[in-house]
Amino acid sequence: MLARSSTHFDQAVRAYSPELFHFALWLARDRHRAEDILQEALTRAWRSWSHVKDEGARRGWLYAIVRNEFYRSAERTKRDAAEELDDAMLERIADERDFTRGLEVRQLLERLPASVAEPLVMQTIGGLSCEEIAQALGVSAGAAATRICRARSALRELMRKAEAPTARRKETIR
Amino acid sequence: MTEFEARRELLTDPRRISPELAQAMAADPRLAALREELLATDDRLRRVLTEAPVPEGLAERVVLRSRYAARSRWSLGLAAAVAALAIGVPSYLRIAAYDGELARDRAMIEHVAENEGEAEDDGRIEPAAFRASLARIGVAVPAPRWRVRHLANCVIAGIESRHFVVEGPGGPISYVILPGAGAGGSERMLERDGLHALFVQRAGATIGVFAEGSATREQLERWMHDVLA
Repeated sequence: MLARSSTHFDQAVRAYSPELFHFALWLARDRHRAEDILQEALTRAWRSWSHVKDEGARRGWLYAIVRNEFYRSAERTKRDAAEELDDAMLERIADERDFTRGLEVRQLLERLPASVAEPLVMQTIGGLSCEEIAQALGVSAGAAATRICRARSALRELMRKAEAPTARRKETIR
Repeated sequence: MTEFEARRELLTDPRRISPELAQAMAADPRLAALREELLATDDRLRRVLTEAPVPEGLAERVVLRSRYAARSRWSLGLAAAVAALAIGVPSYLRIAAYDGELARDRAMIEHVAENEGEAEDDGRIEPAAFRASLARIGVAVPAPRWRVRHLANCVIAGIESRHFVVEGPGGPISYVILPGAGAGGSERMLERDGLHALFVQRAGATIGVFAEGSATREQLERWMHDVLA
């Protein structure tokens, strides 16, 4: 039993550690800290590995542990993760034209609150389903879908605004 | 499906398309264009989020650390129970007289017997990781001749030890290294419920090799030599 668990765990670590590392790196913005978070998170995961019977749920569970480990170790509070993206906030971000003009997609993503950016990052890096993301965030699948939808919608709007001045300049030159 | 519903579904996940959404896209080219745009943005995003190289050997380090950190507490409890049992009920192991070294040997054979399932594990431990792990408890070994299937940090008789399993010529062979032995040189055999063990003292550690059934002393000595020579 223990041997089977350890083999499964080893396989899961080898399969998922690259994407979990990139997720931790996005959260922590620092390679060394990302590795520390991942090591600590997966050590915790191993302790409870045999308790997660549903193999299909393990990936989302691993994301949840990495995320929890980040917030546990970070000075950053959970308030930031719980912040909701409303129309006023999107308007405020989009109106900061000096900020958005010429910014890369990563920087635009970082302008979004973590509550909507995190699920989008999980889906983009790991291709997680809404159900897996919901499990990782501890919310319903519907709520996860709504957050991802809002994140993509907001990112699209910011990119459109960020690229608009460039398009106008090109028109002028032509 | 309305256009609003279709756009919402696309914004939620442009890679997972339901039959209804596929039908809506076929009927409305703007939806298909939106999907292309969202997929392109996702690709850009994925590239920037995964461009950092994954640290070399990360998975191996995680596996080793998780086992070391996670198993020691459990093993400590087991080892304490085993030591109490071995010292308190010597008749259980058919050994009449108490002896410090024999108590350590008993704890080691008990550990292997209790964890026989680990012989089935096949973690394909890297030789460098194997040697580094043993070096941490002060035991230098050459590059292993056989593939190391399993390596675990265990607490036996309250001492941090190593239990490893190699893929030997006739199947898995278990070894345990328990630091803190007395003077070197002596060799002892022990048997418990069909599990045979040979113990030697070397480099300040007791090293045991374990085999089920009909293993002879000569075989155990050869296996000991093959790994530790």
